[in-house]
Parts: sequence; structure tokens; C-alpha cells
Amino acid sequence: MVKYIVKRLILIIPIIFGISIILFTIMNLTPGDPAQMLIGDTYTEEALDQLRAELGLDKPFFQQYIDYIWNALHGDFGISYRTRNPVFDEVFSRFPHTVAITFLSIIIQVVVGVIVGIVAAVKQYSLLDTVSQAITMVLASVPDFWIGLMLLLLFSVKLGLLPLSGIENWTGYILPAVAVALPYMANLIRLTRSTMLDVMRMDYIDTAKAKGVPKKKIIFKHALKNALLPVVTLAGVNISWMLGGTIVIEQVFNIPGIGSLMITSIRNKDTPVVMATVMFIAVLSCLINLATDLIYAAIDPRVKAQIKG
Amino acid sequence: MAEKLLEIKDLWVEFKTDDALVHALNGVNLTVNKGEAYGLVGETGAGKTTTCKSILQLLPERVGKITNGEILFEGKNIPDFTEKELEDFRGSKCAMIFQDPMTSLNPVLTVGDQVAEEIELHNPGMSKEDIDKRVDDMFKLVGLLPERKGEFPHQFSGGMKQRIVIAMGLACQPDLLLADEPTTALDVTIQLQILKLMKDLKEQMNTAMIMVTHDLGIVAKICDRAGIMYAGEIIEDGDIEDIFESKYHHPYTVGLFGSIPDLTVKTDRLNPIQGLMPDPADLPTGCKFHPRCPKCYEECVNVEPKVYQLSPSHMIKCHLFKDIKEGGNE
Repeated sequence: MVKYIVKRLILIIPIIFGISIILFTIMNLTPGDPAQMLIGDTYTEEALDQLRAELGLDKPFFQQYIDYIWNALHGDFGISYRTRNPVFDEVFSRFPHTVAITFLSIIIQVVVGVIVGIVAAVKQYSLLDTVSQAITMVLASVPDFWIGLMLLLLFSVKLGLLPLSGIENWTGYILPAVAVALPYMANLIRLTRSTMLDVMRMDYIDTAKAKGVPKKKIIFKHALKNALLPVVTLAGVNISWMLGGTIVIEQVFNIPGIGSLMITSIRNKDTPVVMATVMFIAVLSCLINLATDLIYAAIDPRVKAQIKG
Repeated sequence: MAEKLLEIKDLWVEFKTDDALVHALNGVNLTVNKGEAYGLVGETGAGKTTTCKSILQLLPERVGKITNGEILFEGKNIPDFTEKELEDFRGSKCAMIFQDPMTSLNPVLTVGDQVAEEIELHNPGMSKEDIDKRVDDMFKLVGLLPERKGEFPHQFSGGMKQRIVIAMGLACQPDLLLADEPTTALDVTIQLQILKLMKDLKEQMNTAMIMVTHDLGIVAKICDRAGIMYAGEIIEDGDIEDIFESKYHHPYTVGLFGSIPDLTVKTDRLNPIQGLMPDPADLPTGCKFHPRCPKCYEECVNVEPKVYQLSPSHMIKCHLFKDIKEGGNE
């Protein structure tokens, strides 16, 4: 098991290298000169060349890449072209917001998603099942910014329960987390329900019934563990998506998260910041994938056997 | 006269799907005495599995429904059982071995846990050590190493899984064991082992058994009595001697025996029963076998045959036997 984990962790290194090469190339190929963007409308050619030299933009492409990687390996992620602050500080002042929203949101979507999914499957065709199916269909098809705006209207403007924008304390995370969670949650409900229904039709459930196992125990001991596998997979994918994909919600709730930083940086061709954010998200995604696989192994002995072997 | 354990009286079961109403059982009558092995023989789709599932009330919810009849177990009607009574009945009084050992064990629970669960459920207050010991005993009984009880189903072969399923079926020493084609999914050498095992266990524990199969050889080897099933009815029922040695048979039974190839005679072709089992959503009138029956005459097409008692143990549901009186067995 430890061997497997170490192997997977080592595998992250080539992945990160691959991503860095592709990303650096793309940033270089896209039109626009960061130095020119920075310097504004009135400038002399000398000042521009000087700025280029300062940012290291006068060197050939490969030299630039190798310098960047070399410095990054020494913990220096460069200076933001735009703000002239160290990239590391820039990124890490924003990541906690995004991570907080993502994890609050994943807890909401998994807890609610799995519970409602199970109940809907066990009481198939009941009123609750029909209603939850209708609601999930709406939630899955409505864009998250609209949900965010509606939540703001209701809880912040009308009821005044939660802050309207920005992050002053932890209550500021609630609405964005819920807004992000709802569409994902809808999919988790539908997935849990359908896999649960599939599992309940399996022969081993009949075997359990024939043994005289009470219904509750059949659901939680015999069926749920089998039905959870695809749910774990989807939840893992969702986390990766949310880490890089809460941009719209950050705009709606005016949160200085990683999404808005990434968009601004791309627009300004702020290569060092883009590199750092994307690679950080990539590392997190790899770790989450690994965690997903380990949870998988904990649930299913067949997967565990493969990991050990 | 042996003591009746299970008596099914005029059982009708329907499956309601979106497209059709499927008549799965059409008046099944069946009796199993204590300690007796009853063979239920028939083609795929004849209603053998449905009969077993009805006994344990395992018909698919909302779709399958008992529309008429009684299933009496020690005189009590099983369909009237409450949820709690059913849970007590299943596993401890009556257990079932399912057709496919590959899918009838839960892949995420250890095999030992799956056997222990049943013992624990039906013996409340039993200590953990006693349960453990009982599981070990069951494993030994079916010829498996008790040390392997901590392993998961995917670590066992098909024949071993079937042994585990049998161990599970017998763990609480039920009065009645429903074995739904326990050897169909296994290869021939393993089949023999499993059958021998079941026969030995039946004799040791005095468990009554319904052995569902389409293999007449298995019936001859294990069963005391047998019923031939066709299109949701039992068309011939009798002691094993009646089924295998009497000169009077339902034409379908004759066809079944006729389709067994004889190893001592050289023939170019096998001798199957012509045609297919009727669609249970659209059953023929009169005798349900008439479209395939070589001896069919006018009455068969229009009138449903009565059950004729040829001897106290032997009955046939066919118009051909209306003139033969009781005792016509010899």
C-alpha cells in the first residue's frame, strides 16, 4: 500500500513537468507583449527594452522556461508582471478562500446528495422521489451564477441573514459554497439514486433478503457500500473542477479567490502567476485523485487487491 | 403418511410490466414433506424460480404479485406473514441457494461475515466466539478451510463460492432448503461434488429440499419425489419411481425423457421436443402444451385438462388419462 502511494506521488512529477511545458508554450504563443501591456500608453523604446530585460523577456523561449523551472525548483515562483509582488504571496493569499469554498461545498453535496439519493431509491416512485427528481433536473440545468444571485437575493437582501459580498468571517463562505454545490449535488443525487437502484436489483441483495436480513441493514450494509463507488469517483472529479472552476461564483459574491486571479492574470499575460496557479491546482487534483483511489480501495476489496499486487 | 412441511395450494402469480401481463404461475399445487427432497423440473421460463421466490416472498416489488392461492408452511400461510415474521422465517426456517454463485455473494463483505451474519440474526444473544465456531464448522462441513473466512468472494473459484452459498443456506439448519439450479453455473466435475455434498448434508441434517433443475439426472440422484413444470403449472407429480418407471406419463414428460441422448445407441440427430415454451404473456387455450403435443386432439385445444390421480402418489394433468382409474400405475 505504502509502495503504491509513493509510486503515485512520484508520478505527479512528470505530470507537473508536462503541464508546465504546455502551459509555458501556450502563454508564449498567444499574442501580446506583457511588457507593453504594463508600461502603458506613453513610453520610450529604451524604457520598454529595459522592462523586458527586467522581466527576462529578452531571452530566448527555452532559456526563459529553463530559468523559470530552475527558480521554481528553488521555491522562487517569480514576480508577478502585473503587481510586482512575489507570485507565491499573491497565490497563497487567495487560495484559502477557494479551498474553503470547495471543501464546504463538497461536504454539502456529498452529505445531501447521498442521503437524498438513497431515500429516493429506496422509496422509488414515492412523492419524495418524484419531487427530488424534478428539483435535481432543474438544479442541474440552471447556471450556478443564477442560483448564486437568487440565494443572495433571498438570504442577504430579503432576510439579511448572511453577508452580501466579500469575506469578513466564515459566514461569507456559506452562500458561495451552497451556490457551487447545488448543481453538483443534483448530479450526485441522480447518480446515487440510479446506482442504488441497480445494486438493489443484484442477486446478492436477494441472497441477503433470503437470509432474513432486515431491510435497513440490507440498505446500509449490503447495498450502500457497493453503490458508493461511482459516487466517490464523481465527488473526486467535482473537487478538481471546483478548485479551478469557481470563477463565476467568485465574481457574483465578490470573493478574491483563485478563479478571479487566474482570469486577470491570463488577460494580462502575467505568465508567472498563471503558471503558479495552474500547477498548484494540478498538484491538488493529482492528490485528490490519489485520495479517491485510496477511498475506493478501502470500500472495494477487489480494488485493494490490485493496489497491493 | 409423512408429515407435511410445505403445501402450495392453487398458486397464481402475475408479473405486471408496462407492455404485458405475464402469467408466471397458473395454479401450482405442490407438497413437500419433512426431510424429503422434491425435484422441480422444467424448461427455462416454466416458473420454477418464481415458485421458490414466492415461497420466500422475494418476488420483485410492485411488479410480481400473488393473485390467488396459499403457501402453507407448517400450516401457516406465508403471504400473510408480517415483515418481522418474514425476517424470522427467511434463513432460519427456509433458506434459498441461488442459481449463480458468481453474483449471489456480496463482493464487498468477507465470506465469513456473510455466513456469520445469518447465524447472528437468527440466534440473538449468541456469543461472538460461538458464532465464530459455528462459521468454522459450516466451512468444514462444505469442505472449505475455515482460515479462508476472512477473504472476499473474488478470491474464490465458482465451485468454492457455491460451497459458501450452500454453507450460508444451511448455517441455521433450516427445515426447508430451496436450491435453485445450484449446479447449473458450474462445470460437470464440480457439479458432482456439489450434488454429493448436498445429498450428504440432506441426510445428516434431515433438511427438506426443493431442488430446481432442468437436469433429470440430478433428480434421479437426489430426489424422493418430483414435479414436472410447464408454463406455470405442475403437469405431472409423483414419487421418483412414478416419474422414472411408470409406463404412464404426460406427453411432455415423455418428450423430456426422449430428448436425453442414449449413449448406447448410435443416432445422427438428437430428439428434442418440437417448438418453444409458450409466451407467458399470451398462453394457449385449453391444455397449455397442446401446440407442441404429438398426441393433441380437439379437446386439448379447447378444454383445460383436469388432474388425474393414477396412484396415491402419481398425478398427471392431461386429457389422455381421463379413463384410467386410480391404481393404474402397474
